[in-house]
Amino acid sequence: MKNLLLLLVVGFYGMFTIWPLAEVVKLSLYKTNFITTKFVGLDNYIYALTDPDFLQSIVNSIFYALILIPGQIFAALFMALSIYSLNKRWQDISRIILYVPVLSAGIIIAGSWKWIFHIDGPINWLLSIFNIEAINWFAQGVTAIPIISFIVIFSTFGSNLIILLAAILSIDKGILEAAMIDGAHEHQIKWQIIVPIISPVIVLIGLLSAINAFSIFENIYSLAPQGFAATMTFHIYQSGFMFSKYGVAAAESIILLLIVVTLSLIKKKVEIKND
Amino acid sequence: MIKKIFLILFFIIMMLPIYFMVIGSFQDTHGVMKMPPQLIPTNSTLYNYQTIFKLDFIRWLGNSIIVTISTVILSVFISSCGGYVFAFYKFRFKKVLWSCLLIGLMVPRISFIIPLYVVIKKLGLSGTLAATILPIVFSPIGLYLARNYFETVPISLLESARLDGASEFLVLHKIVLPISKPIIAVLAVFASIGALQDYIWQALVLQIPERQTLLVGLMRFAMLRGGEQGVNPIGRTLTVGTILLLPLLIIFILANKYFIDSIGGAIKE
Repeated sequence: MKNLLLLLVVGFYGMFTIWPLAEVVKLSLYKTNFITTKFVGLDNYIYALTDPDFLQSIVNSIFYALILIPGQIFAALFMALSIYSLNKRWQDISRIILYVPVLSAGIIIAGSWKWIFHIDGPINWLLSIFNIEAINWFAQGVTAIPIISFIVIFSTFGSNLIILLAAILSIDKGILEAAMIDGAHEHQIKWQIIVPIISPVIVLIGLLSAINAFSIFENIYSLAPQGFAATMTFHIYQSGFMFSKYGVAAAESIILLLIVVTLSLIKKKVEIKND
Repeated sequence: MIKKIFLILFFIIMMLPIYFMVIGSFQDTHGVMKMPPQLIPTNSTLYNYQTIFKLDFIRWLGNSIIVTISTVILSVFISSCGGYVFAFYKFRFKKVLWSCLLIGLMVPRISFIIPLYVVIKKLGLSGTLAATILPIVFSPIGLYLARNYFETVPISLLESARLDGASEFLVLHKIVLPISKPIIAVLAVFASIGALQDYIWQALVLQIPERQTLLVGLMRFAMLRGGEQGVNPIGRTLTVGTILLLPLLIIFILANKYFIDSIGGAIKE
C-alpha cells in the first residue's frame, strides 16, 4: 500500500519533471533541429553567454528582482500588519478580496492592464490633466520593467498576504499581551516583536519573489514582448520557439537553474545567520 | 474606523482592473476608448460576446471542462496520497526524497518546457488533451500542503483503527478521507487554477482547433490582428478575459469556505 502510493507520486514526478530536466542537460550539449543532431560540447553555453540579448535578459531579471523583492514584502507585510488585529470577519473579507486578483493573474487580466496603460488610456488621460504628454508605457524598458513589476505585485501579493497573516496569527498571544502590559505602542509591537518573529517567512517570500522575477513570462508575452523588457524565461522561450535554437535554449535554462539554486543557497545562509 | 475606510478604498482599487475588464467587454470600439473612462457604462452592447459565441465555443468549453476535472481528480489524488505517505510512514531516504520532490517549487516551468514537449512527443501524446493534464498533475506545493495537513491529524486515531483490524484502505476511506475535506478543497482550487491558467503550455501542445481548450482558443482569437469592424482587439481581449475569469471565480467561491482557513493552517514555517 505504502510503496504503491509512493511509486505513483515518484512516477509522475520522474516522468514529467526529472525526465525533462535530464533532457535539458542533454539538449544543452547538442546542436539539433530534432531531425539531425550533433554533439557540440559547451558551444551552446558559450553562445548564450556571449549573446547580448541573453545578457540583457539577465540584467532585466535582476531589475525585476530589485523591484519585486522589496515590493512584494512591503505590500504583503503592510497589509498583514494592518488587518491582523481586526476581527475574523474583516480578515476573511480581506483575504478573499485580495486573493481574487491572483485568480486573474497573468494572461487573463493582461488585456485590462493593456487598456489601462494604453497610449489613449486612463493613465495617460490622468496625466493629460496635468499637461503631461502621453507616454507609450510598454515601448521602452525604463517604463515597461517597473510597470510590469507593479502588475506582478498587484496580482500576486494576495497569496503572500495569506502566508504572512497565517504566520502572524500563529504567534503566541501571550507574547503580544505581555508587551502591551509593559506599555509597548502598537507600532513597537508590530516592528519590534512581530516582524522579528516572522522574519523566516519574510525571507521565504523574498526568495519566492526573486525566483518569480526571473520567471515572469505571461505579462511580458502579452504586454511588451521585446528584448528590453524580457526576463530570462522569456528569452529562453524566444530562443526555443521563435528561433528554433533548442540547444541554446537548453543551455540558457541550465544557467537559469544555476542562478535559482544559488539564490536558494543564499536564503539558507541568511537563515543560519539569523539563528 | 479610519483603518476600515482605508481598507475599503484599497479593496476598490484592487478590484478596478477586473471591473474595467468586465464593463469594457460590454462596450463597442468607440465606448471602450472613451476618456475619461466611464465607471458606469452607457451604450452597452453584447456584440463582443456574440462574435465569441459564433466560434467553436461549446467544443472548447467541453475540452476545458474535461481538462480541469481530470486535472483536479488526478492532482488531488496524487498530492493527498503523497502527503499521506510522508506524514504517516517511515521509510528509507525519506528526507532526501522529500527535498527532491520539492525542488519543483523553485524550478521555473518554462525553463524545461521544450524538453517536456520532447517527452510528450516520445510518449505519443502530442496534440491530445492528456498532454495538457498529465504534466501538471504532480504539484510540489500541493504535496507540501497535504503533508502538513495530515501531520496535524492525531496518529493515535489511525492506530486504534488498525488495532481493531481495519485494513489500510478502510482506514483511508473511513477515517482519513472524511477529515480531509478542507485540504481536498485547497488542492482542488490549486489544481483548477493550474489547469485554467496554463496558457503557454496548452497553446504549445494543442495546435488543432478542435482539440483546443477555451483558454487557448479564445486567446488565439483575441490576439488575431485587425478583425472585423466594430470589434477592436482591446474590447475583444477584455471579453475573452472576462469569460476566462468566470470559471475560476466560481470554483474559488465554491471552495472558499475551506480554502482560506486551511491555507492559513497548512502553511507554517
